[in-house]
Amino acid sequence: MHRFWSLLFATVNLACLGLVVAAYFTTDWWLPDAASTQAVQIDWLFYFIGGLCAFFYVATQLILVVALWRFSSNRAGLANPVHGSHVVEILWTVGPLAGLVVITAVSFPVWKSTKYQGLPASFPIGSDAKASDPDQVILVTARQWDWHFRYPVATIAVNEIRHWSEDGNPTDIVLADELHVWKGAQVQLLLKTTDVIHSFFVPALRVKQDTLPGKTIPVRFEPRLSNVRFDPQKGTLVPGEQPKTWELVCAELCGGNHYRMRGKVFVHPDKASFLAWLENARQKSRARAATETTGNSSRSAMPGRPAIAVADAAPQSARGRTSDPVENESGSSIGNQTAEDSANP
Amino acid sequence: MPNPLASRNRQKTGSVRKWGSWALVSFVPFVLLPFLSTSCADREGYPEDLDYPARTDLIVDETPKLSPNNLSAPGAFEKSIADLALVGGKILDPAANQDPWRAELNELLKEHFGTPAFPRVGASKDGLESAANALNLDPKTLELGSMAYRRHCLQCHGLAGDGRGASGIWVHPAPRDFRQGKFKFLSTSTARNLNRPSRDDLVRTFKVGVHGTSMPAFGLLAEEELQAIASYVIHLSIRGEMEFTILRTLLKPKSQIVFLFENFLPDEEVSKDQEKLSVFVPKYLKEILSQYALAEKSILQAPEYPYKDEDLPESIKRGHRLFSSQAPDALGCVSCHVDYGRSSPWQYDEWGSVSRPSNLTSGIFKGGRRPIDLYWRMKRGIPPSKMPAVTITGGDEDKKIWDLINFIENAPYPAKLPPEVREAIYGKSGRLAPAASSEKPKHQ
Repeated sequence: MHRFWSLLFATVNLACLGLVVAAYFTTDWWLPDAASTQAVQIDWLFYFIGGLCAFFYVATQLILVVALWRFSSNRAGLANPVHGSHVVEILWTVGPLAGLVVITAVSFPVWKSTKYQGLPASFPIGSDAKASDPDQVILVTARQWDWHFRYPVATIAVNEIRHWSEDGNPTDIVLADELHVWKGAQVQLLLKTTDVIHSFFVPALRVKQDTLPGKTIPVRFEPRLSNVRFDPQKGTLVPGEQPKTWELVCAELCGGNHYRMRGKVFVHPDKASFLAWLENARQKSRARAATETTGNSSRSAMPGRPAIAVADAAPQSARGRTSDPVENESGSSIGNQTAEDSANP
Repeated sequence: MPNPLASRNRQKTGSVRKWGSWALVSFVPFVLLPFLSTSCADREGYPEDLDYPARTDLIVDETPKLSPNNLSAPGAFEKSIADLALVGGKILDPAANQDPWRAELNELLKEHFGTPAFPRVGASKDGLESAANALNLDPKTLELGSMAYRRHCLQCHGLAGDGRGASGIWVHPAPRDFRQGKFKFLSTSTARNLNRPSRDDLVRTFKVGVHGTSMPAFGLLAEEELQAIASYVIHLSIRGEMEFTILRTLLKPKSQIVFLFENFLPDEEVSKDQEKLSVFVPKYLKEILSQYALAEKSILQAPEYPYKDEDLPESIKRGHRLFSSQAPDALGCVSCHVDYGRSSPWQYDEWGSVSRPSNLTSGIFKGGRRPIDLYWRMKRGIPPSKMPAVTITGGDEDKKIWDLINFIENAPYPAKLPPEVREAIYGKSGRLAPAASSEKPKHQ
């Protein structure tokens, strides 16, 4: 078996390539849904760099396999070392350098469009002249170990956003672990934390940003896929165009329950659906009357397993909060006011 | 330079090749291992041979009259309970007493409440099955709840619901110790001294968490799971209360079993030969279950909201007066919520931990921030934390309570307050820091 090593390397490499190809065609193993506009750009970057690396990977492994094959027997004789070649040395410096420069050049616009949106025109680095005011502003407060989202009910002028983020309104709706946006909205999240460093990470939106104590950090994105719709008749969320679950997870170790610090992202198809849901949530958060006990709903649940099955996960978990119009006190609207808004002078 | 391909060196290269191949091949199963293992942990319950441990931690019989001046240091909650005895509190030590009735008590608890893997409420001969089932405390629901509790709640709230789980001993405020049978955020009536939670009270707490503490929101769990956990928590609470009640009575010197009947089942006629723990436990269990059933039917309803939007500023002003004035027709809440809660004095609660009247300018409402939640907090109080139920005299109670709620709701938002109220709370600039620095107790 003189050619054993060559065959081994060839087999393992083919197996790895095969896994990559299989992963591409099996949804769960590849990239999540590109649910935001910046997801499309970031994914393109991923494929471009991946393709470039794949080219070099295949090329080097091919050379290795062929060399192992041809020189596997001692009949091939001694090697003939190459002692320096100026041309080759220049080529293998300039070539990769050019590749890296290209990668940098294509990365910059993507970085700019994700991190520098909505800057004032006077800002020196690539402020986007056509970046618009956000359609939606939500205050996100991370705490050990859940996420609070504060939705304004009244419209806030752009120059009032900062005050609102610090003061708030008593009529704001505060929910735990539920992010609601609509397709095509320019969403601005203001990230805060009440205790330690957390990280707001939604893989489907390709949004990740650490939350730092003492800071309010803005994040912008625009959803392009919708997974739920609010049904005013039923008063609940129902599956939308893409009945998928998009999770929010904490991406910075923050204590014993960091692994379970999750939330769900609900993208409505349009502003009307979002506003209908918002009004429904507002009424619940202003509940002035106790309502009847509703008892168990008719869905079956598997104990210990959160409802993240693909088919109707979004409405199922939402239904846990808004199971029927009667159950006013089911608590989707009872997050609590963020502490630092009022406590920090 | 030796030729590595010459025959005298072939032996070494041959063995390297053989062992090297085996080393490489043996890696394969390790690479595949993560893909082969599946997470079955969420289907597992407690080990079947695990029993609830007999209670060994200290029991707080009476909290000290003095105000505390120390918070417990992290991880030192037990020590702070022990230290209550040094400042005038009364502590009972279950470990100091090993009389025969202790073993009998443990047997009775196991008989009537089962084990963590197979919990139940009531032994089969008690005849309490229908009462338990009506409260969703049937064995099947409790088993589901036990599995879910183990997965979601155990690490803070502990095996027996003692609040001393692995994570629980490090957080402040401490996670709820269910074993006294007391809860803070209730919506049920206080008539007949009933202080039981409704099932909805518990489920609501699960869904939104308790802001200002480390209790997170569990709203993403399925509704059935939350209901099952509520059942299991009630089970832990009833079991704990049974144990706590008996220990607290019998650990005192010169205590007799008949005291249990006298104090906790005063309406029961008990003959001399019935003064036994085995008689007391099922009877008291029946009493507790009937209290829970009554609580389910006694949810407090708030009066209808009498105001329109334009009435809000005046309502806030009236509420502010009710809160801060010491006049006979006002409530004088400010006497405990000193400086609107910014300088509240520290005090002991019924579990022996240190807390204080809440800071109403912070915007943190532990029991929920809806108007109805605030109504419940004030209408029926928070007994274990010594928040009294608000009693309004002088007529017009319906309007006055809503005035107070409107004030509390808007107090954290200076911009939303009428000018006089804003000035009273926040000073002239409107965004002032607290008027007096609240003295934080030092850690031990």
